Amino acid sequence: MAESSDQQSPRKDFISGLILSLFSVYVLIQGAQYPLTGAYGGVDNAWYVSPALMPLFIGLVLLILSLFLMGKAGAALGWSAIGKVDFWTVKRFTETQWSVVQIIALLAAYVLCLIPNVDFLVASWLFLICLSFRFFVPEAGAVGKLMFWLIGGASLWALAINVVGAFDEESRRVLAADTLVLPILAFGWAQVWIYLQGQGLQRQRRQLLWATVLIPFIVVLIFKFLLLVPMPAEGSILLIIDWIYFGIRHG
Amino acid sequence: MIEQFSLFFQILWEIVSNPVNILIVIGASFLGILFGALPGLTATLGVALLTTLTYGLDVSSALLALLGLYVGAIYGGSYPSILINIPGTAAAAASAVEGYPMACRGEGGKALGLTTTASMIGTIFGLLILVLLAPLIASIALQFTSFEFFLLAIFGILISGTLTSQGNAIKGWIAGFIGLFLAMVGRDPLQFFPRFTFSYPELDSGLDIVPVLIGAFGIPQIIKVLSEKQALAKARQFGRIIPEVKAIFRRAKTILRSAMIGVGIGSVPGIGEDIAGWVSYGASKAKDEKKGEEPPFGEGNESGLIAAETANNACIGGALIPLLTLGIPGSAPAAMLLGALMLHGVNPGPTLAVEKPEFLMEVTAVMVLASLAMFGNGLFLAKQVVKLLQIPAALFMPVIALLCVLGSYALGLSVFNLMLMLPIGILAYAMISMNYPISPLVIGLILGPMADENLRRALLTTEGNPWPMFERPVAVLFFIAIIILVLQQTPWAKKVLGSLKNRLMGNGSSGGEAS
Repeated sequence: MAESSDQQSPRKDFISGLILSLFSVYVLIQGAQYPLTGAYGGVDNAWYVSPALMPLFIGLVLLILSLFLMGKAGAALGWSAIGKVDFWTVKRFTETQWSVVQIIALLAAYVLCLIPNVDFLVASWLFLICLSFRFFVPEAGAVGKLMFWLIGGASLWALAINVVGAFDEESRRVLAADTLVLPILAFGWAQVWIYLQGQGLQRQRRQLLWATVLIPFIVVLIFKFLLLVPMPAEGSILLIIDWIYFGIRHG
Repeated sequence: MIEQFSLFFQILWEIVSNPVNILIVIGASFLGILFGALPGLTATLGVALLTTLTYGLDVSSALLALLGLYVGAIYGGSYPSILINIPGTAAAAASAVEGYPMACRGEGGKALGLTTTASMIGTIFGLLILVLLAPLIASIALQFTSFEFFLLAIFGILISGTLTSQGNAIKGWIAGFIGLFLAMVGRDPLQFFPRFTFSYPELDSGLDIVPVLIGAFGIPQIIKVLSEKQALAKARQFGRIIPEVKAIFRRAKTILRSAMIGVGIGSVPGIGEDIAGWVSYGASKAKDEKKGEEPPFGEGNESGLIAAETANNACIGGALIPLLTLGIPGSAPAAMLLGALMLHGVNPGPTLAVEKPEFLMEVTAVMVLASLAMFGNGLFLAKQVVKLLQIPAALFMPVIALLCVLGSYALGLSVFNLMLMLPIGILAYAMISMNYPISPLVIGLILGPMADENLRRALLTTEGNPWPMFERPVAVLFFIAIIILVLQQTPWAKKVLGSLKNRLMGNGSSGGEAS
């Protein structure tokens, strides 16, 4: 039988209370390991100036609050029902939950794998076309899925280059990562283009081009040349832009 | 007083005599209106993202940009509320109740005119109270010792947790204490001992506020808006927007009450414009001073719309009161503003009036310009903003994700900031989906160092004896307030308070009948 939202909330409270109580125990254990007495850095310590004081206070308050939360949730659910709460069975995701997982996966791939290792503009273009296309044209199931495979492959490649490759300079490492990520981006965009062309979605194609290519390009240029913010990794595209910019500036 | 006035006009003149500043305030205000108007974007996120861009500017220009955006965003939320019945920001939710029926009647232009004028009056009123009260509060706060600051920090976290949680204060307090825990990461300020750094040198200096705030407010918003796929309705047509000064003055009572409510709510740590809008709307509905003269509430009542809009903008001045005098942000965007001010070397708090005596007047002058820019933008650029309302969220939210990444990275030029932003964002999303409020977490993070340092310093001076705390009247006052706040949530205290209220109400009504 499906659980009502009234039942869901105390259940969520109970689970979050349980996690928080474990976390607060960790804070207490960690805090107890900080110097409470003796001397640290040549300064005599006492409990009331110890760096452990506040973490112990926070851990204690968090523990009490999380136990209260669990108690309240337990009372609302009925204590007999607590034993029946199924913590382990992974339920089938709803469409919204599945979308949340996809967004987090895309953000993680972008932030953890692509940004540190691939030319920032290339990484951003790939991330933006995957994310925008997935939610702007949700009916394009197969192409949308393909885009996820492409960004997944690009992320693995970028990580592999970072871990396995031995390069003297950072720019060479980034360029090496770009050698595969750039064709992946081009292939992905070609698939999107063909799909939108086939469906007669010219307006959507123009809007996607603006939102995922031109606007990020302008934003990156503003940050790089107006605010003088060097990008996290500069490879193929940004080096060409540098070359053109400084070529024009210095004749 | 005259000196203050002349200083105000001198600063105002200095700012406006530079045409770049005028462009900045108009641009920031327009950007703010866009952030407020586009459902899914918020004032806090706008201030967070703009902070990075203001890093290279001087303090005055940075303030112009940030406050211009803040004021504009709170006002801008009313556009989609009125025209498509979807509040652009939580602060404008109450405006939708009356604004949309007006737009359906073909009075969209009038409704926008009313909100534009009411918002400007609300901002200026909040500002007046800020100017009057800030020096007074700052002079009182200068008498505080470490005990008071510690208790003030805990009180700030608890009250923010109580008022922002939906019925379960424990969750708000937990969020606040998670924020306090996050503030403990890094080397401690007194002995330089590393706490929760996991041997990462990047964590030695603690968590950078800006990436954490961008993560806490930006990432959940991106996930929520994209995953819930809210489709926007087509905006209602509206005519010319004209300032509704006459209509506003006819409702002077409503305006005054709403502005007072806005300032009062704004000055309470952690709660902001959304609550102010609803409370003021509720008060206006309860009074219903123009009953019979205008449509009933819920069917396009002008007083209701004015009440909500005046209060949410007056809240800005209110939120700046504890920010500038105590270093405690009154709302989520004010928390972001605090981070931005610290980046520019301004440390808000009681000593600010001593270190930078002209700063309050500078903020005042900037706020006046920001509200004028908002008013001008509102009257002349509304049609352009409405066109942008039709941009699908699936197109602009990914660009916001890019801006979040650049904003977090650019401040320290550190990829580590991104590694911080993402988990904090995911944590914040998980908390929001389990009905934990995020504002107390931010307040906890900001007040953490203040609580930590002051507790230990206070105990150092008394050699570990907490009793001298109870010899100080203000500390006792804070202590009692904390105890009441906590006890209020216990079932028996609720029962006692309820019966007390019933008895008083019973007496009141019988008294009323007698008179």
